[in-house]
Amino acid sequence: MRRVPVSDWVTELAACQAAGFDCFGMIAGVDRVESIEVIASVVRSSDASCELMSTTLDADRTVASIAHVYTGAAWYERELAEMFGVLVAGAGDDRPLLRRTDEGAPTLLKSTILGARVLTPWPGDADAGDDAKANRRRQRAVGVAEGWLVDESGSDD
Amino acid sequence: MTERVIPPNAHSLIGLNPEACTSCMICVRECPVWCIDLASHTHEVTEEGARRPKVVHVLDEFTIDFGACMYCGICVDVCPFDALAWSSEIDPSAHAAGGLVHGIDQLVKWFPASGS
Amino acid sequence: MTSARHYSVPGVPGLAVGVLDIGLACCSLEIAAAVTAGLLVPSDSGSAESSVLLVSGTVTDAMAPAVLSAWNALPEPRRAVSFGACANTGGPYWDAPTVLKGVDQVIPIEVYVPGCPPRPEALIAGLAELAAR
Repeated sequence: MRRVPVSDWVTELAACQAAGFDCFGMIAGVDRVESIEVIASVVRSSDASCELMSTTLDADRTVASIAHVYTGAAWYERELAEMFGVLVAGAGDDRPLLRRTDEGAPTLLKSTILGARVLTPWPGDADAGDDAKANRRRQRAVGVAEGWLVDESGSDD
Repeated sequence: MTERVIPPNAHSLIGLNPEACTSCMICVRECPVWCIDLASHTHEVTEEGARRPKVVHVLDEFTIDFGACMYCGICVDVCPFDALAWSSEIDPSAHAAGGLVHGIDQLVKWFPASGS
Repeated sequence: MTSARHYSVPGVPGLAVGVLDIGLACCSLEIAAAVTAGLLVPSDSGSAESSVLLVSGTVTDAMAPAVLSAWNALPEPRRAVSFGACANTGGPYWDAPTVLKGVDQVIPIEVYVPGCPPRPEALIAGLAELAAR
């Protein structure tokens, strides 16, 4: 995987297309917690070789659209905007794909709390046997990140 | 072309052997979709010649919600006592999503007779 | 999109259904598997007793209106089957804020076929259940 500066994102992918990478693969966002990484894959159909390119976004979480280079990227850029809160500069289409309200945080950020996992009682909370429950330190449920369940005293559960 | 045979228990039901289950809760806690529910109580048993009574867990309830189950088999893999196993029975449909929750009575019938 | 295909079901004698298959995710492949395995046999007769809307896959909030309009466009008598964990309860995506906790939030479901994905045999069992009602 080639790592490129975010300022070179469009020129690097345009260079890929000039080098015969004629098929667009995908764009994926990755939440690295301290930053957002964006990965693109393109394929050269003549020899089925694949190029993977990655860039790390600055604090402004902005990346330039490559939809004028690879048309198929538009759909993934919508996903990037909606689910990772990335601002795709120059994207012609910024309609959300899945969210139908403006409420809530971008769904694929690690900091976004999945309400269902918080509100649904976790069956693993019950201890083996009914009497040992009080003595055991509660463990965190599968799919619940640290910090999601914070009690009123402010300590992490 | 070689004929590909799908194993009869591939992506089929999961059965429970309640005799083997120790109510350890590992399967419940590992299930990614939280579709297993287990209730148990402890019981003291004094064996002849033993100095102290020992505490055993008695399984009261065990349900799998096959409406939500993603058939990943993690519960089967993590069970230290082989109390869960893939079955080759065909999953019965239901007339309500809640009808896909099956308890011990049903799960024990799906536990394969000679393991899986 | 809303024209049902007619099938006979060898495992359920007498059952002829017009199936409109809305495949929204991976388990719709199992319906194709049922056809290639001969469990569902396409027929040209068109004399289906009822139309069946077969919803397989993840129903997102965004997709829900399309599911509803497919249901409304289906000729009476019509019945709906939910196929697989996603359509039944949200399945692996039950915690996603953009996914319905089951397609029965938008259309009335008569039979729920469990599985992730359900085996083709489970589909036939579900259709038999529908026929028996």
